[in-house]
Amino acid sequence: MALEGYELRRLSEVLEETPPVKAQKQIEEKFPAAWGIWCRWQWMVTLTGMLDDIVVVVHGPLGCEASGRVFHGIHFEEHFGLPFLHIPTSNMGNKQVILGGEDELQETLRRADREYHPPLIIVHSNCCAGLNMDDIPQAIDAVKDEVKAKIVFIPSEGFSCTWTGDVAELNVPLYTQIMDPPKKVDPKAVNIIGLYKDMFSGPGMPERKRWDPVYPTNAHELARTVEGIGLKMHRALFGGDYEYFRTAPEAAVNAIDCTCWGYPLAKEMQKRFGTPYMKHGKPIGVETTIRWINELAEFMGVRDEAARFINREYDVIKETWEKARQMAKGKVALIDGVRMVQAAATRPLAQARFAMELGMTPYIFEMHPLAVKAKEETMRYFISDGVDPLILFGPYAEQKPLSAIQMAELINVDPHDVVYMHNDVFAYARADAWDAANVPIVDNIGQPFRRTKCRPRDVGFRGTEGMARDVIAAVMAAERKDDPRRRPTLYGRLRGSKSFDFELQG
Amino acid sequence: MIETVKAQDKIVDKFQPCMEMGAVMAASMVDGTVVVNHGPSGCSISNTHFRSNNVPDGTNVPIFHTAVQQADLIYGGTPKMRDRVREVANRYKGRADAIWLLSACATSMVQDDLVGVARQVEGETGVPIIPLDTPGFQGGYRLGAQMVYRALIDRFADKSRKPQKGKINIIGHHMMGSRNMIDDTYEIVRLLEAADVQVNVHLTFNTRISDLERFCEAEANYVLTPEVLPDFEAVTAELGMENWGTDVVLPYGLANTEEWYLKIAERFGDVEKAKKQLKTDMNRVRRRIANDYNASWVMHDVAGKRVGVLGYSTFAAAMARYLFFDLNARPAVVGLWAETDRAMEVAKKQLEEIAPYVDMKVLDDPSYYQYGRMLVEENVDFAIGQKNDRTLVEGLKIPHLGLGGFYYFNHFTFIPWPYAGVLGTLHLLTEMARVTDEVKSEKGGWIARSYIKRDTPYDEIVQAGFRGCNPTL
Repeated sequence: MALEGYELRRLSEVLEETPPVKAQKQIEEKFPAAWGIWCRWQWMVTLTGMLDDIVVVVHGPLGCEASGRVFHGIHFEEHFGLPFLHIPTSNMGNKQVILGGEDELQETLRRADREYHPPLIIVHSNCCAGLNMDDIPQAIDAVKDEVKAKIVFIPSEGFSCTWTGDVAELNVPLYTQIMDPPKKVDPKAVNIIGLYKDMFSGPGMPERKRWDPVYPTNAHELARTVEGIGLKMHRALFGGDYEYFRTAPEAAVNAIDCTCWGYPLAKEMQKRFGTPYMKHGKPIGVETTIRWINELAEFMGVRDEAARFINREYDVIKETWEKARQMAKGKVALIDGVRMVQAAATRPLAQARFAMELGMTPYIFEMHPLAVKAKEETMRYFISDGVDPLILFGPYAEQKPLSAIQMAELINVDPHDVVYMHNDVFAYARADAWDAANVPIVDNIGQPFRRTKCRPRDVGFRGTEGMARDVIAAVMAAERKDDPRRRPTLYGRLRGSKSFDFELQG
Repeated sequence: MIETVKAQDKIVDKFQPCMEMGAVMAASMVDGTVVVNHGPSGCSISNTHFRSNNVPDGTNVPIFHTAVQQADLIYGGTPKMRDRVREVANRYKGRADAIWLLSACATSMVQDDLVGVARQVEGETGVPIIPLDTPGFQGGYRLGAQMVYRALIDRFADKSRKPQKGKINIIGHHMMGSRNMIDDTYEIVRLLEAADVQVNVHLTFNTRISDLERFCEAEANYVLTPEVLPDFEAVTAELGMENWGTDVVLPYGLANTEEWYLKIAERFGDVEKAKKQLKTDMNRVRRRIANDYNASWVMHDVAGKRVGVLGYSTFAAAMARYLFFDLNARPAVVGLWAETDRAMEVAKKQLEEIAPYVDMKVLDDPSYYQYGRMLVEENVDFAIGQKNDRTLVEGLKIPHLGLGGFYYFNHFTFIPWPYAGVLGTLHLLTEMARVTDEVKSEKGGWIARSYIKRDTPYDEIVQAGFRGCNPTL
């Protein structure tokens, strides 16, 4: 039976009905079979990897390093410009697991300081160091007088959290240890926070850290917006070197890119340093971008500049935006909450909001209820902003991908009346039933997810224009649906059981 | 002359997948089996990625996991593991030849009962369940892989079979070090068969459990890695089987291939047939590139260049020899990674043959930092490594070519052609063309002096309101 055990529920209902992420027994009853993907260690090392000129010391066995380097290392560094990360490890073996490895950690810290000369060492622990309960803070304290670098410990045992869980909420606040209380606050300075993986290279960065990116990030667009309304770009986090990160609290306000990554840091910075933060995040769409700008402009007292900026920018994208609205109106936006991972939260909801602005009805599937629950603050933000879409609620056993065709059947919509927004490199496809040749598939928001030069991934006026342009292109491409020679993509033919036109039409 | 540079004391920062990853890689090349990882989800996703090494043209073994959480480690994860294994066994009953049950660091430390669960569920379902304790803290990749080999032999080999002349088993494919392992294996097998050497069983490469029955029919095991494989070596000693070839150079490039091929043919097959095959393959290579000006360009592009090499011990050694013997390049920095002293010594011995003729710094298990510093000091033209070190190397403005490591995210060539063997020289030369294109291209000039301007500094884009930075928009 199609999608057995699943039903469509409002986001707000899913939030209420899903047990808290730490209620393991209840979760296992509701979501049988294993769930969770990646681990806290992998998340945290990649987040730390966004900082420059630092060294990560991993307290644990060597193997985890390989796991970090095989996917994240390559993908994040090659495709986003993260620096190559040096990860000396304490190389725990049997002996350290049984007798403790604090001595080895201390020696690794001494050697790393002496040989790499970093200003900052971040220590991450993996499963072994967590289970044998090595006293890592004490070990760090014991060497701090011998070591020139500042040492910060971020616990990251793999068993303690998964990607589907509350890892950002647990760990991101800890990075404020790297920051110093502000000696002075610049009343015009704005931080953009909530970056993960996207490397910022624009204003506020030291000159030698700046480069002209092939693919501008969302932070580039938000920084352009900040400066466009007469404010000063201070820091884009995560990113930069120790000095850059340390001085982040000198900004007057934190503005948010991704709410999942941004809120935990913003809240802690407010608590520790009194830095206020804005509510709006991930502004995809014209009205949403205007709300993001106006919230910031009102707080900073630059409403007139903001109004001028908004008018000027909207004029530039108006034609594309209106065309997209015309083509998309009345369709269903079928949003894939990341097909293989099912742990995205902010982006699918931001896309839903964008779809609503275009006159579409959004439905989200493959967004795991636990990811919804873990990001409760983000969910509440979207609900308060009028975004409470129907999402597919169910067991998601093994986090196995579901059928988009079955999803369309459940909604009772013709595939051609769908705009399918997938968010990874595993878009659902079956030639000839579900393929770019007959279903509008928005591609640039998947893993490559950017647009060369000038346009960021999806936020702000320019990102919105890029998204609108992609919706237009997807709808146009699928207009071939009635052409007997519509010629499905190779990708769709590979995944379907029929490969050639004579089979598909026969 | 070789100058050996020792590893940075107490600094361990190298690519060495753990024991569980090695076990998964070897196990997931056994067709018709299923893997259950009993560990946190992070280990499982890494293993799933590593497993992709086996997918192209090979097998796609399902991997399940228990995704243990903190509470499972406090109260014990055995019940969860039992439920999971039982569920998988019931699902695959009648379809799976065996289920691998592997532990991670965390579940091994709390001593969840793998063996008990395996016995119980096998008894209930009749599906063979093979429990292996494979925590990363016990060591590296080779240990996990060879535990799988040993388990297969212990459980499925018919020990009454007698060895037959000319039959060999091939062992340790995943430890060769090439990112093109699958097509290299096909080529090795093709060459062996052409020299009347019959490949009996692979451990592991598209292996079926039923293949193991005839394991003892081989007169020897050709072991593709010089690493110490303690459990495997113990069981083969018990069986009286010879493990051959751990010190034989890998067949990358013409000179290495000839040495490798004639040695193995002399020991197990027909040397004359091997020579004939070498000539046949060389004729094919000659037809393709002997009069090709492009090939001449590439070979001259590489000749004389100073090159860095970083990789798994004998793969890196073979690459260094290939660069010098075949291409007259200078392997100025060679970083050798190994899990055991034996592997390191074999690789160094293989380098000794070129030592009198080239100045070469050999780094003994270097950290990435040490290797990077050495590339700068030695002023290399380009470096051969694996994808993981590309950003290190290109961050130093040194062109990089990834030839080693695993397939996943590392090798985007979908044309089935080996690096190994005489025919493989065509693929290697194609790869060399890619990197020398980077080495010799003066891109700065194209950009600085382009008539049509595309790139505009960010500040100018800001001032221009983002319009006008790209006339094509």
